[in-house]
Amino acid sequence: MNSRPELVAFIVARVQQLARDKGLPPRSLNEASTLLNGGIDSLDLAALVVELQEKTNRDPFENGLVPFESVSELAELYAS
Amino acid sequence: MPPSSLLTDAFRAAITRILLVNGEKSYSGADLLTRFEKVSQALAGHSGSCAICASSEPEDVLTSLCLPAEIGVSVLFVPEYLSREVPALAETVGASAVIRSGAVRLIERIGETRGPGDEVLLLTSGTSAKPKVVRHKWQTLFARVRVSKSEDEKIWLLTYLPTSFAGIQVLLTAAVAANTVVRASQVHRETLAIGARQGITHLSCTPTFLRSLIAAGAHEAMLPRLRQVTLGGEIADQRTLDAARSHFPNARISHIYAATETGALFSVSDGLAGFPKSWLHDGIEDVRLKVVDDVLHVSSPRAMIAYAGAGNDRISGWIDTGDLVRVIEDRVLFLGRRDRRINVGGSKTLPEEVERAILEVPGVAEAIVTGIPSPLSGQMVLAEVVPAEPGDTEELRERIFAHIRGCLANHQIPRVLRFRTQAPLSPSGKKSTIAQSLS
Repeated sequence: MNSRPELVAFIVARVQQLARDKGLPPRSLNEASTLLNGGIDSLDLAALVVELQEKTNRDPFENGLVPFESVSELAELYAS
Repeated sequence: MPPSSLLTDAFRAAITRILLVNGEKSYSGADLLTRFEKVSQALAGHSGSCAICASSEPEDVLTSLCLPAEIGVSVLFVPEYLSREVPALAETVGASAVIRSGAVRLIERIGETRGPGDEVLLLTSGTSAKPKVVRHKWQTLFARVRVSKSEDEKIWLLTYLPTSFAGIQVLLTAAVAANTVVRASQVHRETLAIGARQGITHLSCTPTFLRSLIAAGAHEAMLPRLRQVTLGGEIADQRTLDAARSHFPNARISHIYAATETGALFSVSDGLAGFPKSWLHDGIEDVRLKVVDDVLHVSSPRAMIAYAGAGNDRISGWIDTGDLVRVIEDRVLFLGRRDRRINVGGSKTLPEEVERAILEVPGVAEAIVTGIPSPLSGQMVLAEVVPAEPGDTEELRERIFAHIRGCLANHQIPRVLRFRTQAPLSPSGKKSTIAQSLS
Protein backbone atom coordinates (compact mmCIF):
# COMPACT_ATOMS: atom_id res chain seq x y z
CA MET A 1 0.00 0.00 0.00
CA ASN A 2 2.48 2.60 1.17
CA SER A 3 5.69 1.14 -0.11
CA ARG A 4 8.98 2.95 0.39
CA PRO A 5 9.44 3.85 -3.30
CA GLU A 6 5.90 5.23 -3.41
CA LEU A 7 6.50 7.33 -0.29
CA VAL A 8 9.84 8.58 -1.60
CA ALA A 9 8.14 9.70 -4.82
CA PHE A 10 5.37 11.41 -2.80
CA ILE A 11 7.88 13.23 -0.56
CA VAL A 12 10.02 14.33 -3.52
CA ALA A 13 6.97 15.68 -5.38
CA ARG A 14 5.67 17.54 -2.30
CA VAL A 15 9.06 19.06 -1.41
CA GLN A 16 9.44 20.27 -4.99
CA GLN A 17 5.94 21.78 -4.81
CA LEU A 18 6.77 23.49 -1.49
CA ALA A 19 9.94 24.88 -3.08
CA ARG A 20 7.99 26.19 -6.10
CA ASP A 21 5.43 27.79 -3.74
CA LYS A 22 8.31 29.57 -2.01
CA GLY A 23 9.74 30.76 -5.30
CA LEU A 24 12.94 28.76 -4.80
CA PRO A 25 15.06 27.65 -7.75
CA PRO A 26 14.32 24.06 -8.85
CA ARG A 27 16.50 21.42 -7.27
CA SER A 28 16.75 17.75 -8.11
CA LEU A 29 15.96 15.44 -5.23
CA ASN A 30 16.46 11.77 -4.56
CA GLU A 31 16.04 9.54 -1.57
CA ALA A 32 19.46 10.47 -0.17
CA SER A 33 18.74 14.22 -0.28
CA THR A 34 18.65 16.18 2.97
CA LEU A 35 15.22 17.65 3.54
CA LEU A 36 16.20 20.86 5.37
CA ASN A 37 18.15 22.30 2.51
CA GLY A 38 17.81 24.87 -0.22
CA GLY A 39 15.21 26.97 1.60
CA ILE A 40 12.94 24.18 2.89
CA ASP A 41 12.25 24.98 6.56
CA SER A 42 10.79 23.23 9.56
CA LEU A 43 7.29 24.55 8.81
CA ASP A 44 7.46 22.95 5.39
CA LEU A 45 8.39 19.67 7.03
CA ALA A 46 5.52 20.10 9.51
CA ALA A 47 3.12 20.25 6.58
CA LEU A 48 4.73 17.29 4.88
CA VAL A 49 4.37 15.23 8.04
CA VAL A 50 0.65 16.07 8.31
CA GLU A 51 0.13 14.97 4.71
CA LEU A 52 2.05 11.76 5.23
CA GLN A 53 -0.02 11.05 8.31
CA GLU A 54 -3.24 11.54 6.30
CA LYS A 55 -1.95 9.38 3.47
CA THR A 56 -0.73 6.46 5.56
CA ASN A 57 -2.90 6.75 8.67
CA ARG A 58 0.25 6.44 10.77
CA ASP A 59 1.67 8.82 13.35
CA PRO A 60 5.31 8.01 14.08
CA PHE A 61 5.51 11.13 16.29
CA GLU A 62 2.81 9.89 18.65
CA ASN A 63 5.30 9.35 21.46
CA GLY A 64 7.56 12.30 20.76
CA LEU A 65 9.93 13.58 18.19
CA VAL A 66 11.79 11.07 16.02
CA PRO A 67 14.86 12.44 14.24
CA PHE A 68 15.03 12.30 10.46
CA GLU A 69 17.18 14.14 7.94
CA SER A 70 16.87 12.62 4.49
CA VAL A 71 13.99 11.78 2.19
CA SER A 72 14.51 8.07 2.75
CA GLU A 73 14.59 8.42 6.55
CA LEU A 74 11.25 10.22 6.48
CA ALA A 75 9.77 7.64 4.07
CA GLU A 76 10.95 4.84 6.36
CA LEU A 77 8.88 6.24 9.25
CA TYR A 78 5.66 5.81 7.28
CA ALA A 79 6.41 2.72 5.19
CA SER A 80 4.34 -0.40 5.71
CA MET B 1 -41.74 49.94 24.40
CA PRO B 2 -43.04 48.21 21.27
CA PRO B 3 -46.76 47.34 21.32
CA SER B 4 -47.32 43.65 22.03
CA SER B 5 -49.40 43.17 18.89
CA LEU B 6 -46.72 44.70 16.64
CA LEU B 7 -46.41 41.64 14.40
CA THR B 8 -50.02 40.52 14.28
CA ASP B 9 -51.07 44.11 13.56
CA ALA B 10 -48.73 44.06 10.59
CA PHE B 11 -50.26 40.77 9.42
CA ARG B 12 -53.74 42.32 9.74
CA ALA B 13 -52.62 45.35 7.75
CA ALA B 14 -51.57 43.07 4.88
CA ILE B 15 -54.44 40.57 4.79
CA THR B 16 -54.24 39.98 1.06
CA ARG B 17 -50.63 41.03 0.44
CA ILE B 18 -47.87 38.42 0.18
CA LEU B 19 -45.47 38.93 3.10
CA LEU B 20 -43.34 35.84 2.71
CA VAL B 21 -42.14 33.77 -0.22
CA ASN B 22 -40.42 30.51 0.67
CA GLY B 23 -39.67 28.45 -2.41
CA GLU B 24 -42.95 27.33 -3.94
CA LYS B 25 -44.98 28.56 -0.98
CA SER B 26 -46.10 32.11 -0.35
CA TYR B 27 -47.93 33.59 2.62
CA SER B 28 -50.25 36.57 2.88
CA GLY B 29 -50.90 38.42 6.14
CA ALA B 30 -54.08 36.33 6.50
CA ASP B 31 -52.15 33.08 6.04
CA LEU B 32 -49.65 34.06 8.73
CA LEU B 33 -52.44 35.10 11.12
CA THR B 34 -54.19 31.75 10.65
CA ARG B 35 -50.92 29.94 11.27
CA PHE B 36 -50.25 31.97 14.41
CA GLU B 37 -53.80 31.44 15.74
CA LYS B 38 -53.55 27.69 15.30
CA VAL B 39 -50.33 27.60 17.31
CA SER B 40 -51.57 29.97 20.00
CA GLN B 41 -54.79 27.92 20.49
CA ALA B 42 -52.74 24.76 20.97
CA LEU B 43 -50.70 26.60 23.59
CA ALA B 44 -53.73 27.95 25.52
CA GLY B 45 -52.99 27.78 29.25
CA HIS B 46 -49.24 27.63 28.67
CA SER B 47 -48.65 31.25 29.55
CA GLY B 48 -45.35 31.66 31.39
CA SER B 49 -43.79 28.58 29.83
CA CYS B 50 -41.41 28.10 26.93
CA ALA B 51 -41.95 26.51 23.51
CA ILE B 52 -39.32 25.34 21.04
CA CYS B 53 -39.71 26.30 17.41
CA ALA B 54 -37.81 23.37 15.86
CA SER B 55 -38.00 24.49 12.28
CA SER B 56 -35.83 26.40 9.84
CA GLU B 57 -38.85 27.52 7.82
CA PRO B 58 -39.35 31.30 7.97
CA GLU B 59 -43.17 30.93 8.26
CA ASP B 60 -42.71 28.96 11.51
CA VAL B 61 -40.15 31.46 12.80
CA LEU B 62 -42.29 34.49 11.99
CA THR B 63 -45.45 33.13 13.60
CA SER B 64 -43.55 31.80 16.66
CA LEU B 65 -42.05 35.26 17.14
CA CYS B 66 -45.57 36.51 18.00
CA LEU B 67 -45.89 34.15 20.98
CA PRO B 68 -44.04 36.00 23.79
CA ALA B 69 -45.91 39.26 23.39
CA GLU B 70 -49.31 37.88 22.41
CA ILE B 71 -49.80 34.90 24.74
CA GLY B 72 -46.86 35.11 27.16
CA VAL B 73 -44.99 32.02 25.92
CA SER B 74 -41.23 32.31 25.47
CA VAL B 75 -39.80 30.67 22.39
CA LEU B 76 -36.46 28.98 21.65
CA PHE B 77 -35.48 28.74 17.98
CA VAL B 78 -33.66 25.57 16.93
CA PRO B 79 -32.68 25.12 13.27
CA GLU B 80 -33.46 21.80 11.59
CA TYR B 81 -29.81 20.76 11.39
CA LEU B 82 -29.76 20.73 15.22
CA SER B 83 -33.01 18.70 15.53
CA ARG B 84 -31.31 15.95 17.50
CA GLU B 85 -30.48 18.52 20.21
CA VAL B 86 -34.18 19.31 20.79
CA PRO B 87 -34.74 16.88 23.74
CA ALA B 88 -31.63 18.15 25.56
CA LEU B 89 -32.51 21.77 24.86
CA ALA B 90 -36.08 21.13 26.06
CA GLU B 91 -34.59 20.02 29.40
CA THR B 92 -32.28 23.03 29.54
CA VAL B 93 -35.02 25.60 29.05
CA GLY B 94 -37.91 23.60 30.58
CA ALA B 95 -39.90 23.65 27.33
CA SER B 96 -43.54 22.54 27.35
CA ALA B 97 -44.10 22.27 23.60
CA VAL B 98 -42.38 21.85 20.24
CA ILE B 99 -43.60 23.71 17.16
CA ARG B 100 -42.82 22.25 13.74
CA SER B 101 -44.51 22.91 10.38
CA GLY B 102 -47.24 24.98 12.03
CA ALA B 103 -48.19 22.14 14.39
CA VAL B 104 -47.67 21.94 18.13
CA ARG B 105 -46.58 18.86 20.07
CA LEU B 106 -46.92 19.15 23.83
CA ILE B 107 -44.19 17.71 26.02
CA GLU B 108 -45.23 15.84 29.14
CA ARG B 109 -43.64 16.61 32.49
CA ILE B 110 -41.14 19.14 31.20
CA GLY B 111 -42.31 22.70 31.45
CA GLU B 112 -42.92 22.87 35.18
CA THR B 113 -40.85 26.02 35.21
CA ARG B 114 -42.93 29.10 34.71
CA GLY B 115 -41.47 32.52 34.08
CA PRO B 116 -42.58 35.78 32.59
CA GLY B 117 -42.89 34.11 29.16
CA ASP B 118 -41.52 37.19 27.47
CA GLU B 119 -38.25 35.85 26.11
CA VAL B 120 -36.84 34.96 22.72
CA LEU B 121 -34.08 32.36 23.04
CA LEU B 122 -31.51 31.95 20.28
CA LEU B 123 -28.61 29.63 19.66
CA THR B 124 -25.19 31.14 18.95
CA SER B 125 -24.07 30.51 15.39
CA GLY B 126 -21.05 28.57 16.67
CA THR B 127 -18.74 28.58 13.64
CA SER B 128 -16.12 26.98 15.86
CA ALA B 129 -17.85 25.92 19.08
CA LYS B 130 -20.93 24.16 20.39
CA PRO B 131 -23.94 26.49 20.28
CA LYS B 132 -25.10 28.17 23.49
CA VAL B 133 -28.62 29.32 24.34
CA VAL B 134 -28.82 33.12 24.49
CA ARG B 135 -31.81 34.71 26.27
CA HIS B 136 -33.24 37.98 24.99
CA LYS B 137 -36.23 39.96 26.20
CA TRP B 138 -38.83 40.16 23.44
CA GLN B 139 -39.10 43.91 24.03
CA THR B 140 -35.34 44.42 23.63
CA LEU B 141 -35.21 42.41 20.44
CA PHE B 142 -37.96 44.58 18.98
CA ALA B 143 -36.65 47.84 20.45
CA ARG B 144 -34.94 49.08 17.30
CA VAL B 145 -37.41 47.64 14.82
CA ARG B 146 -39.53 50.53 13.64
CA VAL B 147 -42.63 50.62 11.54
CA SER B 148 -41.49 52.28 8.36
CA LYS B 149 -43.37 55.45 7.46
CA SER B 150 -42.28 55.42 3.85
CA GLU B 151 -44.77 54.24 1.27
CA ASP B 152 -42.40 52.60 -1.17
CA GLU B 153 -42.45 48.88 -1.18
CA LYS B 154 -39.39 46.99 0.02
CA ILE B 155 -38.63 43.41 -0.94
CA TRP B 156 -36.03 41.70 1.21
CA LEU B 157 -33.92 38.72 0.25
CA LEU B 158 -33.48 36.44 3.26
CA THR B 159 -30.04 34.84 2.97
CA TYR B 160 -29.54 34.02 6.64
CA LEU B 161 -30.78 31.00 8.50
CA PRO B 162 -34.27 32.14 9.67
CA THR B 163 -33.60 30.94 13.25
CA SER B 164 -30.39 32.97 13.61
CA PHE B 165 -30.15 36.41 15.18
CA ALA B 166 -29.50 37.95 11.74
CA GLY B 167 -32.35 36.00 10.12
CA ILE B 168 -34.78 37.11 12.81
CA GLN B 169 -33.69 40.74 12.40
CA VAL B 170 -34.50 40.59 8.68
CA LEU B 171 -37.84 38.83 9.24
CA LEU B 172 -38.87 41.32 11.95
CA THR B 173 -37.75 44.44 10.12
CA ALA B 174 -39.64 43.43 7.01
CA ALA B 175 -42.74 42.07 8.74
CA VAL B 176 -43.50 45.03 11.01
CA ALA B 177 -43.42 47.30 7.96
CA ALA B 178 -45.62 44.80 6.07
CA ASN B 179 -42.84 44.34 3.48
CA THR B 180 -42.21 41.13 1.60
CA VAL B 181 -39.40 38.71 2.47
CA VAL B 182 -38.18 36.27 -0.17
CA ARG B 183 -36.04 33.39 0.98
CA ALA B 184 -32.84 32.79 -0.97
CA SER B 185 -32.10 29.37 -2.45
CA GLN B 186 -29.13 27.18 -1.55
CA VAL B 187 -27.98 27.58 -5.13
CA HIS B 188 -26.67 31.02 -6.07
CA ARG B 189 -27.90 30.90 -9.65
CA GLU B 190 -31.40 30.15 -8.39
CA THR B 191 -31.10 32.91 -5.79
CA LEU B 192 -30.21 35.36 -8.55
CA ALA B 193 -33.16 34.20 -10.63
CA ILE B 194 -35.48 34.57 -7.62
CA GLY B 195 -34.02 37.99 -6.79
CA ALA B 196 -34.49 39.18 -10.36
CA ARG B 197 -38.01 37.78 -10.65
CA GLN B 198 -39.18 39.19 -7.33
CA GLY B 199 -37.45 42.53 -7.86
CA ILE B 200 -35.62 42.54 -4.56
CA THR B 201 -34.70 45.93 -3.15
CA HIS B 202 -32.88 44.93 0.05
CA LEU B 203 -30.11 42.38 0.37
CA SER B 204 -28.72 41.48 3.78
CA CYS B 205 -25.95 38.87 3.78
CA THR B 206 -22.46 37.91 4.92
CA PRO B 207 -19.43 39.16 2.93
CA THR B 208 -18.74 35.53 1.95
CA PHE B 209 -22.28 35.19 0.59
CA LEU B 210 -21.94 38.43 -1.38
CA ARG B 211 -18.59 37.38 -2.88
CA SER B 212 -20.03 34.06 -3.99
CA LEU B 213 -23.14 35.77 -5.38
CA ILE B 214 -20.88 38.09 -7.39
CA ALA B 215 -18.82 35.08 -8.53
CA ALA B 216 -22.10 33.50 -9.70
CA GLY B 217 -22.70 36.55 -11.89
CA ALA B 218 -24.63 39.03 -9.72
CA HIS B 219 -24.54 42.60 -11.00
CA GLU B 220 -26.69 45.66 -11.20
CA ALA B 221 -28.46 44.86 -14.47
CA MET B 222 -29.69 41.61 -12.97
CA LEU B 223 -31.04 43.21 -9.79
CA PRO B 224 -31.96 46.69 -11.04
CA ARG B 225 -34.22 47.55 -8.10
CA LEU B 226 -31.60 46.77 -5.45
CA ARG B 227 -31.07 49.86 -3.31
CA GLN B 228 -29.61 48.53 -0.06
CA VAL B 229 -26.86 45.98 0.57
CA THR B 230 -26.20 45.24 4.24
CA LEU B 231 -23.18 43.10 5.12
CA GLY B 232 -22.93 41.42 8.51
CA GLY B 233 -21.87 38.33 10.42
CA GLU B 234 -18.23 38.49 9.31
CA ILE B 235 -15.61 41.16 8.72
CA ALA B 236 -16.60 43.46 5.88
CA ASP B 237 -13.16 44.15 4.42
CA GLN B 238 -12.42 47.03 2.06
CA ARG B 239 -12.18 44.82 -1.02
CA THR B 240 -15.62 43.32 -0.46
CA LEU B 241 -17.13 46.75 0.24
CA ASP B 242 -15.53 48.07 -2.97
CA ALA B 243 -16.80 45.05 -4.93
CA ALA B 244 -20.32 45.68 -3.60
CA ARG B 245 -20.08 49.33 -4.63
CA SER B 246 -18.82 48.56 -8.15
CA HIS B 247 -21.36 45.80 -8.82
CA PHE B 248 -24.29 47.69 -7.35
CA PRO B 249 -23.50 51.40 -7.93
CA ASN B 250 -27.08 52.50 -7.21
CA ALA B 251 -27.38 50.73 -3.85
CA ARG B 252 -26.44 52.06 -0.45
CA ILE B 253 -23.77 49.76 0.98
CA SER B 254 -23.50 49.35 4.73
CA HIS B 255 -22.07 46.88 7.18
CA ILE B 256 -23.53 46.13 10.55
CA TYR B 257 -21.88 44.92 13.70
CA ALA B 258 -24.07 42.59 15.71
CA ALA B 259 -23.87 39.29 17.53
CA THR B 260 -26.38 36.95 19.11
CA GLU B 261 -25.15 37.88 22.61
CA THR B 262 -24.73 41.61 22.14
CA GLY B 263 -27.68 42.27 19.84
CA ALA B 264 -27.44 44.81 17.03
CA LEU B 265 -24.72 47.35 17.89
CA PHE B 266 -24.09 49.71 15.01
CA SER B 267 -24.17 50.19 11.29
CA VAL B 268 -21.49 51.85 9.13
CA SER B 269 -22.44 53.38 5.79
CA ASP B 270 -19.47 55.50 4.72
CA GLY B 271 -18.12 52.80 2.41
CA LEU B 272 -15.02 52.22 4.53
CA ALA B 273 -14.05 49.08 6.44
CA GLY B 274 -14.12 49.19 10.24
CA PHE B 275 -15.59 52.14 12.15
CA PRO B 276 -14.50 55.65 13.21
CA LYS B 277 -11.97 55.72 16.04
CA SER B 278 -13.96 58.49 17.74
CA TRP B 279 -16.65 55.92 18.61
CA LEU B 280 -14.24 54.36 21.12
CA HIS B 281 -14.48 57.65 23.03
CA ASP B 282 -17.96 58.87 22.33
CA GLY B 283 -19.83 55.62 21.79
CA ILE B 284 -22.36 55.33 19.00
CA GLU B 285 -25.95 56.11 19.95
CA ASP B 286 -26.48 54.17 23.19
CA VAL B 287 -23.67 51.64 22.59
CA ARG B 288 -20.29 52.03 24.28
CA LEU B 289 -17.07 50.53 22.91
CA LYS B 290 -13.57 49.95 24.24
CA VAL B 291 -10.50 47.90 23.31
CA VAL B 292 -8.88 45.65 25.92
CA ASP B 293 -5.78 43.67 24.85
CA ASP B 294 -6.66 44.19 21.18
CA VAL B 295 -10.17 42.76 21.72
CA LEU B 296 -13.30 44.87 21.25
CA HIS B 297 -15.55 45.08 24.30
CA VAL B 298 -19.06 46.49 24.07
CA SER B 299 -21.82 47.65 26.35
CA SER B 300 -25.34 47.88 24.99
CA PRO B 301 -28.83 48.21 26.45
CA ARG B 302 -29.98 45.63 23.89
CA ALA B 303 -27.60 42.88 24.94
CA MET B 304 -28.86 39.46 26.05
CA ILE B 305 -30.21 38.79 29.55
CA ALA B 306 -27.75 35.90 30.03
CA TYR B 307 -26.97 32.45 28.68
CA ALA B 308 -29.63 29.88 29.64
CA GLY B 309 -28.67 28.11 32.83
CA ALA B 310 -26.57 31.03 34.03
CA GLY B 311 -29.16 32.41 36.46
CA ASN B 312 -31.56 35.30 36.08
CA ASP B 313 -29.21 38.18 36.71
CA ARG B 314 -28.97 40.24 33.61
CA ILE B 315 -25.38 40.53 32.45
CA SER B 316 -24.30 44.06 33.11
CA GLY B 317 -21.46 46.15 31.86
CA TRP B 318 -18.96 45.14 29.27
CA ILE B 319 -19.12 42.11 26.98
CA ASP B 320 -15.93 40.65 25.48
CA THR B 321 -16.78 40.19 21.78
CA GLY B 322 -13.75 38.00 20.92
CA ASP B 323 -13.16 40.24 17.90
CA LEU B 324 -9.54 41.39 17.50
CA VAL B 325 -9.20 44.98 16.31
CA ARG B 326 -6.42 47.43 15.47
CA VAL B 327 -6.57 51.21 15.41
CA ILE B 328 -5.03 52.56 12.22
CA GLU B 329 -5.10 56.35 12.01
CA ASP B 330 -8.72 57.41 12.63
CA ARG B 331 -10.26 54.01 11.97
CA VAL B 332 -10.79 50.87 14.05
CA LEU B 333 -10.34 47.82 11.82
CA PHE B 334 -11.48 44.26 12.53
CA LEU B 335 -8.64 41.73 12.19
CA GLY B 336 -10.31 38.43 13.00
CA ARG B 337 -11.78 36.19 15.68
CA ARG B 338 -9.62 35.42 18.69
CA ASP B 339 -10.85 31.81 18.69
CA ARG B 340 -9.85 31.24 15.06
CA ARG B 341 -6.19 32.17 15.70
CA ILE B 342 -3.73 29.57 14.47
CA ASN B 343 -0.62 28.78 16.51
CA VAL B 344 2.20 27.79 14.19
CA GLY B 345 5.21 26.76 16.22
CA GLY B 346 4.43 29.43 18.83
CA SER B 347 3.71 32.21 16.33
CA LYS B 348 0.09 33.32 16.21
CA THR B 349 -1.59 34.01 12.94
CA LEU B 350 -5.09 35.13 12.03
CA PRO B 351 -6.72 33.12 9.24
CA GLU B 352 -8.69 36.22 8.24
CA GLU B 353 -5.43 38.05 7.49
CA VAL B 354 -4.22 35.21 5.25
CA GLU B 355 -7.64 35.00 3.57
CA ARG B 356 -7.58 38.75 2.82
CA ALA B 357 -4.10 38.43 1.27
CA ILE B 358 -5.19 35.53 -0.96
CA LEU B 359 -8.39 37.35 -1.96
CA GLU B 360 -6.25 40.21 -3.29
CA VAL B 361 -5.02 37.96 -6.10
CA PRO B 362 -6.99 38.44 -9.33
CA GLY B 363 -8.82 35.25 -10.26
CA VAL B 364 -9.54 34.21 -6.66
CA ALA B 365 -13.23 34.14 -5.75
CA GLU B 366 -12.93 32.86 -2.19
CA ALA B 367 -10.34 31.73 0.32
CA ILE B 368 -10.81 29.66 3.45
CA VAL B 369 -7.88 29.35 5.83
CA THR B 370 -7.79 26.96 8.77
CA GLY B 371 -5.31 25.54 11.24
CA ILE B 372 -4.57 21.83 11.02
CA PRO B 373 -2.98 20.01 13.98
CA SER B 374 0.61 19.11 13.24
CA PRO B 375 2.87 16.90 15.35
CA LEU B 376 5.89 19.08 14.53
CA SER B 377 4.57 22.64 14.76
CA GLY B 378 1.39 22.53 16.85
CA GLN B 379 -0.68 23.70 13.92
CA MET B 380 -0.07 24.42 10.26
CA VAL B 381 -1.86 26.70 7.85
CA LEU B 382 -4.16 25.15 5.26
CA ALA B 383 -5.69 27.28 2.52
CA GLU B 384 -8.59 26.29 0.32
CA VAL B 385 -9.16 28.50 -2.67
CA VAL B 386 -12.15 28.84 -4.98
CA PRO B 387 -11.05 30.13 -8.41
CA ALA B 388 -13.27 32.77 -10.01
CA GLU B 389 -13.31 30.75 -13.21
CA PRO B 390 -12.38 27.19 -14.08
CA GLY B 391 -9.00 27.01 -15.77
CA ASP B 392 -5.30 26.60 -15.12
CA THR B 393 -4.99 26.29 -11.34
CA GLU B 394 -1.20 25.81 -11.54
CA GLU B 395 -0.82 29.30 -12.94
CA LEU B 396 -3.19 30.71 -10.30
CA ARG B 397 -1.31 28.86 -7.59
CA GLU B 398 1.95 30.47 -8.67
CA ARG B 399 0.41 33.93 -8.66
CA ILE B 400 -1.11 33.37 -5.20
CA PHE B 401 2.22 32.35 -3.68
CA ALA B 402 4.14 35.10 -5.49
CA HIS B 403 1.69 37.62 -3.97
CA ILE B 404 1.47 36.32 -0.41
CA ARG B 405 5.25 35.85 -0.11
CA GLY B 406 5.41 39.61 -0.45
CA CYS B 407 2.87 40.47 2.24
CA LEU B 408 2.78 37.66 4.82
CA ALA B 409 5.34 36.38 7.32
CA ASN B 410 6.86 32.94 6.72
CA HIS B 411 4.76 31.25 9.43
CA GLN B 412 1.55 32.70 7.93
CA ILE B 413 2.13 31.25 4.48
CA PRO B 414 -0.05 28.17 3.89
CA ARG B 415 2.01 25.04 3.41
CA VAL B 416 -0.93 23.21 1.89
CA LEU B 417 -3.09 24.95 -0.68
CA ARG B 418 -5.99 23.23 -2.36
CA PHE B 419 -8.50 24.30 -4.94
CA ARG B 420 -12.19 23.63 -4.61
CA THR B 421 -15.20 24.62 -6.66
CA GLN B 422 -17.31 26.18 -3.92
CA ALA B 423 -16.78 27.73 -0.50
CA PRO B 424 -18.28 25.68 2.31
CA LEU B 425 -20.89 27.85 4.03
CA SER B 426 -22.04 27.17 7.56
CA PRO B 427 -25.83 27.16 8.08
CA SER B 428 -25.54 30.78 9.23
CA GLY B 429 -24.08 31.83 5.88
CA LYS B 430 -20.60 32.33 7.26
CA LYS B 431 -17.56 30.58 5.96
CA SER B 432 -17.48 27.14 7.48
CA THR B 433 -14.19 26.98 9.34
CA ILE B 434 -14.50 23.60 11.01
CA ALA B 435 -11.94 21.87 8.81
CA GLN B 436 -9.99 19.80 11.30
CA SER B 437 -8.21 17.49 8.93
CA LEU B 438 -6.80 17.59 5.46
CA SER B 439 -9.30 15.27 3.86
